[in-house]
Amino acid sequence: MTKFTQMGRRMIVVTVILLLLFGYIGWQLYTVQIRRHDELYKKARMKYTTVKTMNGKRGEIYDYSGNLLVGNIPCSDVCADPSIAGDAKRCREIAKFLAEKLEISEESVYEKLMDKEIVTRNPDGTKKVRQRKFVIIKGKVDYEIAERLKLETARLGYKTVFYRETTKRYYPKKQLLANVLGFTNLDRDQVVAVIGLEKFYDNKMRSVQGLERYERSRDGLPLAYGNSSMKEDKDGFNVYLTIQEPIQAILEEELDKFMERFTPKSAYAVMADPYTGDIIAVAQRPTFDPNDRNSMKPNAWRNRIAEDTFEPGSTMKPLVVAGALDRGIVTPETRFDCEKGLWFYGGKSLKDSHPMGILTVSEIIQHSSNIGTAKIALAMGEKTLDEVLRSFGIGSRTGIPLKPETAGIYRPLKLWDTLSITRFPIGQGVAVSPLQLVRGYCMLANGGHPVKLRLVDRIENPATGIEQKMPLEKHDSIFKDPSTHKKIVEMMKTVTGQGGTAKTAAIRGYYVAGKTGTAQKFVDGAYSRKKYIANFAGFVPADNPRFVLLVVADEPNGGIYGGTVAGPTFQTIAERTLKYLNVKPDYDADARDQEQKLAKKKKLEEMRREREIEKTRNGVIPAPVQRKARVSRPAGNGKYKINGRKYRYITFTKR
Amino acid sequence: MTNVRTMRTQEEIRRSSRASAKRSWMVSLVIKLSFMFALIFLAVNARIIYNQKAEQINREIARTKSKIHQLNREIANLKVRKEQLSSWPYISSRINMFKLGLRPADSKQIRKIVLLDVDGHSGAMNGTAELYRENRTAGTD
Repeated sequence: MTKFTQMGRRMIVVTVILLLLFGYIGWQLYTVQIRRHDELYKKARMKYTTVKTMNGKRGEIYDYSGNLLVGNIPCSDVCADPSIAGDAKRCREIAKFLAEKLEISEESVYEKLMDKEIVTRNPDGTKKVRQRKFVIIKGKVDYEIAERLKLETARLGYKTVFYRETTKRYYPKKQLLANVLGFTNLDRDQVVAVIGLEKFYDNKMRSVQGLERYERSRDGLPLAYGNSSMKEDKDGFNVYLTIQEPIQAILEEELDKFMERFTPKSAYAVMADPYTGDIIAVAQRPTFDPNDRNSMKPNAWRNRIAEDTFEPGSTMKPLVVAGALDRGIVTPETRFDCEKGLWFYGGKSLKDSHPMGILTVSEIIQHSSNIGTAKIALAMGEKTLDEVLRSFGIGSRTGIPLKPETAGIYRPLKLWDTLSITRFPIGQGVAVSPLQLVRGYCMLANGGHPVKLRLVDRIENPATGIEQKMPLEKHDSIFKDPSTHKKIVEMMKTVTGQGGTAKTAAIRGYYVAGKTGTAQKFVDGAYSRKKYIANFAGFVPADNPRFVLLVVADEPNGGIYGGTVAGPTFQTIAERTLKYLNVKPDYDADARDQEQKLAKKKKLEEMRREREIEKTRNGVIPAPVQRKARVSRPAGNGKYKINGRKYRYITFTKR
Repeated sequence: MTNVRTMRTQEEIRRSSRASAKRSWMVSLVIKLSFMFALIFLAVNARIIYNQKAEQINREIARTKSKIHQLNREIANLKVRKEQLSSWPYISSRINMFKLGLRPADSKQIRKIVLLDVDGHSGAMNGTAELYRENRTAGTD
C-alpha cells in the first residue's frame, strides 16, 4: 500500500513536470506562431526571399540603315566586402593586385579595404558600429577587363572582391554626330538625359524597371515551389535617324579639313534631301567626344544648327528673286542698273563688292549684286517681299526634334524701317538658323514645295519589332508659275559657272546650283569690317537634286568670301557624296574638255592662218600674238619678306 | 459430445473457428495497412523524386539563364565593338597609320568589265574571261 502511494506521488510529480514542460512549449509555440508571428515571419521572409530589380535597356540610336550610333555597352563595377578582406597584409596584397589591373592608386584601394566599420549615431546619441560590407573599388570597368579580372580573382581566392554587372551609354562613333545625339549623365544610378536627341526622346528611350521577388534555397537559386512574383522590365524604344552614316563621315572629315585650313571660330554643314526634308548629314565644329567627358566644353555642347542664328548674306538673294520671278515682277532678262557698285537709298549707301553697271536679273544672281537685288525688292514692295520670305520659312521654326530651336530674327512687317526693304533681300538685318536656310533651299530645289525637316525616320519597339514611321508632309508648291523653278535653277547654275562668284564649288560632270554668302558680323552695334560669316548653299545635280548642302564658317581666317572659303568644301563634300550615291553625271566632262581643247586649237589655227594671209598680202611679218605672261610662284609656301614686312602671293597670273 | 472422426469436442471446434476468424481479420488488416503504407511510401517517394528532378531542372534553368545572360552581354559588347571598328573615322585613322594610300573609287579606273553568268563563268566573252582569269570582275589600271 505504501509502495503504491509513493509511486502515485512520483507519478503526480512527473506528470506535473511534464505538464509544465508542455505548457512552456505551448506558450513558446503560441508566442512564436501567434504573438510574434508577423515580426518573425517578416524576418524569415527577408532571409529566404530575394528581390531583384532589372533595369531594362535604354533605347539605342541608329542611322537610317541601322548602323549603331548610340548603344549600351556592358561593363562591371568592381566591388569589395571589407569585412572579409582579412588583415592589413592581405589587404595590401589585394590592393596591389587590383591597383595594377585597374590602373588606379594602390593606396586608395588599400584604404577602402581597411575601412571595415561604419559608425552611426542612434537617436539617443549613442554610437552604433556596423561592419562595412560594400565598397566600390572602380565603377564601370570595361567588359573584357572585368571578365579577365573575375577569372584571376577567383584563381587567387580573393573572395572579398565581387562584381556588379551594369551597362554604360556608349557612343561607338565617338564625335560623329555628337551634338545631335547629345549625351546622358548618371545621377544616383539614374540616367539623366542632358542634351540632343537623348533628351528630346528621353521618355521614349527610357526603360521601365522590372522587379522579381522569389524564395530561394541556401545556394541562392529560386525554389521551384516557393512564392514568386515578377514585374517584367521593358526596354526603351530604339530611334532610327534619317542620317546616313557614310555620308555623315564624309561631311565630318571634310569639315575637319575645313577647320584646319581656315581656322574659323566655328563651322557647320548640313545636308538634306530636298524632297522629303530628311537630314542626311549634319556636323558642327567645335564638337566633343561623348565618351570623353573631359573634352566636353560648354561652347562645344550647343547645337549650333538649331540654336545659332547668322545673317545669311547673299544666300538670301535666290529666295527673293524666285519670289519676284514667280509673281511676274521680273524676268531673267529684266535689266537693273547696279550703279557702278555704289548706291544711296534711305540716306545710306549700299555697295557691291564687285562694281557692276547694267545687269540682267540672271547676272545679278551670278555676280551677287546687292544693289541689283535691292532694286528687285523695291519693285516687289514690302508686303510682297515679306510674303515671299515668310513663304520660304524665314522667321518660323523647322520643328526638328532638337531643343531649344531658334525661330531666327525676322521683324514683323509693321516694324520694318525704310532700309529694311533693301537690306533684308541681301541677308542683312535678318538672321536665320542653318536649318532654316537649308529648308529654304530645299524649296528652291524641289520646285517650291514646303518641306518639314526630318531627323528621325522611325521609332521601334524592340519587344514587338513594331516601327512607328515619322510622317512625311506634302504641301502644294508656293510657286504659282511652274516655270519659276527652272528659271531660278538656271540662274543659280551660273554662280558656279564661268564668271560666277563660286567657281570653286563647281563639280566636274555635274551642274551645281548654289549661292555664295558673305556677311559682316554685327558687333557692338555696328557691322564689323574684320569679322565675317562665309557660307555657301546649293544643290546637286541642279536639275534633279539629290541633296541640298550648306557650309558655313564663322570668322574664317585666310579668306572672307563664301565662294573662296565655303565653296571648295562644298565641292569636295558634294563630289564625294555623289560618288558614294552613285549619281550619274549630267554630262561627260572629258568629252567637254576635249571639245573645248579642240575649239581653242581651231581658234589658234584660224589666227595663224590670218597671220599667214596678212604676211603674204603686205610682205611684212606681223608681230606674234602676245601671250599672257606667267609669273612663277616663289619657292616655299608663297610667303616672303621685303624690308622686314611679310607678303603673300594671292594671284599668280599677270593679266 | 465428441466428434468421432476428429475426436474434438464441440467447444474446441467453436474456439478454433473463432480463432481462425480472428486471425484472418488480423491478416487482412495487416495486408490492408501494408498496402496503405506502401501506397503512402510510394507517393512520398514519387513526390521526393519529382521534387528532386524539379529542383535539378530548376538549377539547370538557372544555370542556362545565367549563361544566356552572359552571352547576351558578350553579344552586346561585340556589337558595339564591331560598330566601333567599322566606323569610317577608325578605318581612315588606320589607313593613315599604315600609309595605305587608298584613293576614292574612280570610274576611269575600270579597264574592262567581264560579265559573269549564274555559275560564275564569263558567258559571252570567252576570250576575255581567259585573259582576265585572275581578276574576274574588273581589271584596273
